[in-house]
Amino acid sequence: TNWTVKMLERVVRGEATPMDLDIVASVQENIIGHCLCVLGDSMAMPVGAMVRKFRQEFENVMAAAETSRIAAVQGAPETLGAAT
Amino acid sequence: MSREVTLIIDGREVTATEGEMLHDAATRGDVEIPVFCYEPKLGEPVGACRMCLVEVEGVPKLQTSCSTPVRDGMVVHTRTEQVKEAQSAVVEFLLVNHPLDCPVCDKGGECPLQDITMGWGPGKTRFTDDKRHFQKPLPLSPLVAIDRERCILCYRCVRFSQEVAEDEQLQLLERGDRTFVGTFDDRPYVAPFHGNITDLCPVGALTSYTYRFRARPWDIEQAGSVCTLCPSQCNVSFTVRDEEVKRVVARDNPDVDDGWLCDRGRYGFEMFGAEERVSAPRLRDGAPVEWPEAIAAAAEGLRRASEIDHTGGGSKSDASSRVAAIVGDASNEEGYLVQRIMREALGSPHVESRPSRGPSRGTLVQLSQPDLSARVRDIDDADAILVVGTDPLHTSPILDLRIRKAMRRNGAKLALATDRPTALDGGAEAATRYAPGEATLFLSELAACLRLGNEGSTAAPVAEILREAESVVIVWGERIGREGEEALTTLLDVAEALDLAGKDGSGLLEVPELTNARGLREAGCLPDAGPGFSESTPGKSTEEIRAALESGELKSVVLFGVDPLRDFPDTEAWKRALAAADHLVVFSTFENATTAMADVVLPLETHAEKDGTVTHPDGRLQRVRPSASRPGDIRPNWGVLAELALALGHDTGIASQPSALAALTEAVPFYSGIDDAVISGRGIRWQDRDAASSFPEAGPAVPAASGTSGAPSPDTQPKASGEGAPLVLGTYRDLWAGPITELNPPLKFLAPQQRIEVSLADAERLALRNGEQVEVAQNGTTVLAKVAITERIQEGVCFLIEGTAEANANALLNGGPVAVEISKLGGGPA
Repeated sequence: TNWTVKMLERVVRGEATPMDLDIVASVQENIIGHCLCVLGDSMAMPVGAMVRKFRQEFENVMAAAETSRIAAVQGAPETLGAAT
Repeated sequence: MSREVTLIIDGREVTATEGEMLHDAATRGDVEIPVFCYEPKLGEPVGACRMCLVEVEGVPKLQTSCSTPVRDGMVVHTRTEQVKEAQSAVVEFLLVNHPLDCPVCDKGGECPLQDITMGWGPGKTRFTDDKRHFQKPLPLSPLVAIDRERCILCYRCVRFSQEVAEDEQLQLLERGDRTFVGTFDDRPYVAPFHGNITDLCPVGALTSYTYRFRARPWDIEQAGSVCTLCPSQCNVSFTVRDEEVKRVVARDNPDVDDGWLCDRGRYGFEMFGAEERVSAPRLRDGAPVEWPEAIAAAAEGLRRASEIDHTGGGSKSDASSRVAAIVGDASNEEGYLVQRIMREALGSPHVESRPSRGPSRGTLVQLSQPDLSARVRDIDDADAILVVGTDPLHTSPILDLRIRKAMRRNGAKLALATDRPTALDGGAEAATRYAPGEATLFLSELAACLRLGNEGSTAAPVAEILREAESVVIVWGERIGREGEEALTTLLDVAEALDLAGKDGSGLLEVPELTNARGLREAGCLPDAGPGFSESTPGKSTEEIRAALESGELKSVVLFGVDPLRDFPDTEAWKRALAAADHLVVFSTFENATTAMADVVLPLETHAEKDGTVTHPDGRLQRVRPSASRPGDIRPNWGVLAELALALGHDTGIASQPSALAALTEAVPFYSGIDDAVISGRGIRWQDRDAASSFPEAGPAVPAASGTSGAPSPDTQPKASGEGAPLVLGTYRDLWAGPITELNPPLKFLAPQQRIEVSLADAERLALRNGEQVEVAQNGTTVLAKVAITERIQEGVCFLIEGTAEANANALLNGGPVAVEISKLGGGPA
């Protein structure tokens, strides 16, 4: 769960690559049915399904976030971080 | 109940008992399933680590093999793609937050996480984010460091604390990915068994400060031996580097220790190299001398002492002989040789191995009958356990865990009868307190209750528990024998009333005062019995030896591994006795008050250096193997004794440790045929061998206390009533009292300060405040102590610790019941 959260945060910040989405999907598969705590299953099922069914949306978010992040880095330094 | 089932694991047919976990069945069938959290010693599995997932035909999801019981006809696969993927995923998850600091981690090279990652892991991780961070390493206790980043949250340490030691100090704090191990109040984890968590930890999260950065697995050798620091005689493995002990770890032996160690045994090794260690023989106040000179001096003095006014001589023991020996910390062979030197070389029957006195030969033979002795393992399955006159936590700590296990896992009922509150009180169905020195009274009431069903008696609740039980184990402290012969004859009476001898899984289990008390008694270190309880000329008991030294009747004494000035009752009288002796030969591991008075001091080996056998209180002979080198000019003790005998003109014919063992087993009929191969790594109970039939027959009921024990009549048997009445003094040996904490830098913080435990009522009556310093006086002798107001303590009674460096309670004892006056410092009577 901790790993998934960290990866999704990177997706939102625009620091992720399409490969990360593959890892997110694979991690969810590895969690389901293998973990003692039900938090694992209850997170992995919806997150896994979202990545599988709405992958395009994730990629759009990533692309948009990345563009604004790069713009922020190239633009005025004082706006750094505010862009996300 | 234990039905056999057959199942197939990876194509192999495996037979298992019903109810067994799949993982255990697989291990027996030679199929390895990796685990982190599973540890059968800890009790019920939790299935937390998910490493042991396997495929079971007919079950859609993978199952954790550690928590899936076997079923008949089950078909299990442990190496399919599905399983491999799952295991690889689990390793990847475990490594998400685990730092890759193996090169600087103490566990490196002996780490299950390393091994399993190599064997079942993915080899590389896809995790690129920041790992969890904690401050590290932090002291979890003064002896154990915790590195929370390395922790994989397997729960093992927490389960140990909660379910085995039951100190309930360790907890998992926070939730989810913020979970970490700690004590509930963030104070240090100080408990007598806490070192076990470093053995249990499957990663480098819990490490001992005493072993951190000391060695790597490829620098060390593991040497299996037996710990002789207490009567539990746990099996240990010494980690040896450059011929020095660097660490002590448990060596599982379910018949002895269940795989646990107490901190005394685990961390005690640091005193082996103490400055106070006697590392070469020396004469009075002198510098070290060569061995031949020391042995000649010891022999010369003994011969001179035994010859004065003594015309008997020869090989027959003569009660008028003027030399004596007291044996303490010794192996069976050493005890056997000392009594042989006394009886055969010097013609003296005065050989003893008990701190004050003990029962006669007849009673001992009855108590040691094979069908009356319980195994340690019998505690596990007993319906009821009675603990009389001992607190296992202090005297034989591993038994405390054993009894807790029996209660927790098998629902055994515990009854307690002690003078002082014990660590086991909390789980006991019935806890009876008797006044110090009144165990005999309690036992006779109990026997009467069992026979006649006397309802009103104080022993009635205990009797009820015992009467309802199918199998009963009575764990009794040798200490009750200090009250006199009658304490043990009434104990035998209780055993007879319960028919312990006739019932399987029932019996008596002694908690002796000395590590090898049973072995020494069986080897003949008794004043009225030779090897194998053979009859012999009666000699003097320890307190009689003391009195005879003082009066000049005895001229010389050999003290082998005993320190009367610390460990025996009546310190002042012992000082006078040792000062009066013409010739004092002391075998000692460390310099102490007794060696300071000796004419000849000879060094002893520690249990890491010694080669010999010891006998567990349940009759199991175990072998102490030499693991580390002897510092300085120390020689094997059996050899020193054989040479001493030779110097006295007696050829024992013993030229090696095996020949010493052979001589012993020849002399003790019921040890007959036991050699190193029979003892092997796990030891052998002599009761389980055919030779046990040659154990002496129990004679007719022994008459109560013969004249020889000479118990001082209780001149004071006070009842606490009215202002300023004295309190009856009880004493106990604290787990940490003695050289173990004083000479051991890492354990120094545990050294007990003298404290006087009193009941709330008495504290109020005497206007004592908790923690205040008081003077405890008895017949002109005083010791200083801090007041500790204690619950569950009887009114009119107080307790002091024996064997402390200062204010030792032994100074106040005189062999009989003692009453003490308590007065505040600088003021009059409290």
